[in-house]
Amino acid sequence: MNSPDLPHYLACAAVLFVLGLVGFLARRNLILMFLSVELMVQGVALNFVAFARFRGNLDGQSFVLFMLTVAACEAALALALILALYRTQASLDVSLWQNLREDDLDATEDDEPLPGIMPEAPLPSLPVAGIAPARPEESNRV
Amino acid sequence: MFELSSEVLSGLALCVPVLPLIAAVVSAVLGSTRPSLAPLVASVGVLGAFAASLLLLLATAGHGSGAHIFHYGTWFTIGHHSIDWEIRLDALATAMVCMVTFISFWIVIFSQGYMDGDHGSARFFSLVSLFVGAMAILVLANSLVVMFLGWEGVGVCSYLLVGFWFRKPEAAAAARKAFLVTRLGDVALLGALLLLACQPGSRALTFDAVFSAHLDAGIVYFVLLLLLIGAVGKSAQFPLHVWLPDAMEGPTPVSALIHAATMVTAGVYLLARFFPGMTGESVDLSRLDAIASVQDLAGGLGAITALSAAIMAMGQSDLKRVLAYSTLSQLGYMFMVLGVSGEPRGEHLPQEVIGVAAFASIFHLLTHAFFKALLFLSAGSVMHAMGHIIDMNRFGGLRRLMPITHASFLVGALALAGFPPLSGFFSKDEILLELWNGSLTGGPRSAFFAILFSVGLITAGLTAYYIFRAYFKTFHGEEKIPHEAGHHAHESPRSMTVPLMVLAVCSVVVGLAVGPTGILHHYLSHTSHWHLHESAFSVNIPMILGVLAAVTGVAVAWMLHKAAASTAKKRSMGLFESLADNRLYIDGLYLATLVRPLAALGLVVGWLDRELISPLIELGATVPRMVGGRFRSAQNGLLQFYALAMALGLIVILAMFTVAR
Repeated sequence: MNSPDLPHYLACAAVLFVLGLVGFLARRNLILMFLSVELMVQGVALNFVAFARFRGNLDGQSFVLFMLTVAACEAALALALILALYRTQASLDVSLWQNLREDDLDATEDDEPLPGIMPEAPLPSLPVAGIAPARPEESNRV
Repeated sequence: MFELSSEVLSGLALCVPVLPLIAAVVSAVLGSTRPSLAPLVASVGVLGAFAASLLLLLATAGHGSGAHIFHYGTWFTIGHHSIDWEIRLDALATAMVCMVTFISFWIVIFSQGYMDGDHGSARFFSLVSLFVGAMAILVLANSLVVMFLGWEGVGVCSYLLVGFWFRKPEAAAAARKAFLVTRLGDVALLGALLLLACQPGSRALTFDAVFSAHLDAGIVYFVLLLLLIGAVGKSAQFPLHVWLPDAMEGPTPVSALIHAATMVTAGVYLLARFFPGMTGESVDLSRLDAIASVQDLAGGLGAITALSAAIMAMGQSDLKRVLAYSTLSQLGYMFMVLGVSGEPRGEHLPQEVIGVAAFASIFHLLTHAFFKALLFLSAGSVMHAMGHIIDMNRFGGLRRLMPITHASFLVGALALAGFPPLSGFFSKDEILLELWNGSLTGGPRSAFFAILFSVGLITAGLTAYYIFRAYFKTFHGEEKIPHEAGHHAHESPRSMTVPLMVLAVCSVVVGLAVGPTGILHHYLSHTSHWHLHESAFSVNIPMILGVLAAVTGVAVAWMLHKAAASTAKKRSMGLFESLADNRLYIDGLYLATLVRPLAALGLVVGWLDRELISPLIELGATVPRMVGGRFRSAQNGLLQFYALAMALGLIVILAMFTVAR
């Protein structure tokens, strides 16, 4: 078996990128969209590394280090934004935020609304046996 | 009197304009939080300037002819010439700045009482300080450009202070009128500076450079003509006099300071510098001729103003307006005597004649500043007590109610009318004497000077009449108090009466102290280009005629006052009074010939702009709007739609590259 050649790496990177792109276009959950973006970034990063490897030049490698750093910062920022958005609408559906359209256009209505939040399954009611355990208050309620 | 080193003199001279400017900034900044401090700051600043100028006066008195020039820095440079921050200190500038700061100080003190309780009083005191600084720059500047800076500065302060109560429509309109009309003169003055800047000899634009330059007689004529127009605008002479009566809408201390004592005399000051200065040492006849023809114009305009303003003052019922027209008329006197041109007279050179004429006008300028400020402040005191009513028909017989104001107004009126030995007597006599001497030479202009002299004499009589008419109406007869005065019709507080007393003493003493003793004459003879020959004070014919005219005027005023008091019914308005009441229809004439046609033109142009040009422009604007409208629906706010568009765009671009290869 030959060791993988440059086209293999490039194909793999292209697959990663296209998966990310499709995910970004098709999913409506903000977190999943964000993960798709990360996927695309990794695809590009793979390209860099592959070219660095096969051209015998470390520029691409060092570039990727920076990309990873930036991606980490961006992740922190994006998740914080998503959290803030969630707090306003109690949903992660991206189509809820279309306020930046032209004034005279109507909001785009959804033909297939996402399923709403599932009602919580009722807790099993058990006969009282001893002291109820102290339930800690949920600290990170979102 | 005593010697000061050049450095000390330089520092003192710098203090004169700078201290009031600092005071202006400080009181403006403090005004928002501590308005009660503003008058204090302003009075300290102006007092400092006065102290500095008094020291300068004493230090330069008695020795050293010519001018000291102090250099502080460079303003800007054009080519090889730089406009410098320089002070040119000579006898005339020192005397003038001393008078300005002295009167300003007492007016600031007076204003503390007068403006008490006004919401904008910090703004008022800041502007007054700024005015004093600008006036000092005007008087002391060495470069004509810096002088122009001060000239415009006092104009701006005048505008802001006339419109001090800007919520009152009349005040706002008066401020605008004052600014625009004086602007006509300012443009002419700027023209004179540009003309001088174009001449190789005078390009440096300092007084000495201009006076010593070898200029063409034609250039001299045009420069002086433009300067005369500038002076006519600033000093409110016919035909640009219309702004001054309206400027009385400002607070009364402002009228006293700017529109009687200082700013309006800037034009006289300018001409008193330039007429002798331009003559220089030259015996060039064409140049002297050019100067003389501008002087004729100055004298003629002065005579028209002096007489017509006196006539207008006679019919006014508004006390401040009487004083405003009186100011016009007195400034007319100063212009008249500036018109005495240098025909060689006897053993005197033309330079000497022009110098003496300039001296007479400056002497009258100085004494007039004292007694006119006094009259205005007295009127302000009356207004203060009468609840800001200034119509003389609404009050009367105030002499028992306001004894100090009464006394000070009487002193001012006597000085204005020219009764010996008050200050107005000596200076007015000096003017009449110069005109009289001019008419006796038998030269080609002696008839003109004879006319000027008779105008001066008639105006002296009219002056006495109108000021005593106002005096009798206000302080004599039956006691009448308008209801606006409420229960507080009383003598003004001490902060207002003390300045009145000080200025009253000055009005009595100044003329006597500096006129017949020759002190002022001797001091001002050090002014550069003023070739004053020694002259002894003596009783002469014009003096006797002048006093007779004044006495007649007062007597007529008294008789008419008595007659009006005995016949209680109001007389129908005669032709004369209706003329005076309508300001000789000059304002109406300007309105009909200038303002209305321009306003109509403005309406037409505005209509064209709205109805023709705007639609054309908007037609052009519809094209991008329509094109943009096609694509606007793409902006639907959906994030994933944008992402899809980007992805498709990317694919299209990649496809194009592929096909192209």
